[in-house]
Amino acid sequence: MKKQNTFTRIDTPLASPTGVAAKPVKANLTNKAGAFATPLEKDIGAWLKIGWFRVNK
Amino acid sequence: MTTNNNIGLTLYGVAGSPATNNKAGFEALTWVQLKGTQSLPVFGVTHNNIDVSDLGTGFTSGVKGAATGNDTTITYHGDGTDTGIATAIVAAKAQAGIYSLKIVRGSGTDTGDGPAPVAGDVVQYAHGYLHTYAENEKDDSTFEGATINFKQNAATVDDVEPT
Repeated sequence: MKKQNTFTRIDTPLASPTGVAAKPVKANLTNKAGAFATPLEKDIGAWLKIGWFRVNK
Repeated sequence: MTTNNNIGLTLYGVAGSPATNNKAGFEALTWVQLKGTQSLPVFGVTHNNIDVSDLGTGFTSGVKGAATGNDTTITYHGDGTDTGIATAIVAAKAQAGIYSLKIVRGSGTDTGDGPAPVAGDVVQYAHGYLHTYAENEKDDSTFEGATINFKQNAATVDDVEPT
């Protein structure tokens, strides 16, 4: 029987090299007054609720 | 214990407030220096007292009530065209005027506007709103400048300059 190729789906990011901390993911935000902020991506929900919005910086 | 004077303190601002009133929230903001400051706002809060009387003891005790943020003044010299000062003037004139402030005791290079903040320097944060923009007297013995008031709307956050 012919051997089939198998693929493994990777759902988690690859571990960083030993001794090197993974860089936290940050979002680029601005507001109506033109100010800028770069909170952590995991905190983005609270910022969007008070009027900040995403921007490509 | 060391007691310093206030020379070298610098003020930074952002026309907005952080999502959380803590170090992470304020450190996420992009700060712009307000140059030419002469006196800085004094961050802090005061608390109401709630009287609780007791007929049996005949004594009225106090319990701590809600906090209220300080309403203090920023004074600066100049024509108001400095980038940071300009954002503060706009906020002071705007309807909401939401603004965050950061006071820095910097130890970095001074390029003419006070020592720059470097990692580990002591900083204080507060957010609220700016209001009551008032230019200095227009006479022959007063220099160009103005005052802007800052109403603090949450507790002060003490921190050090992040890396």
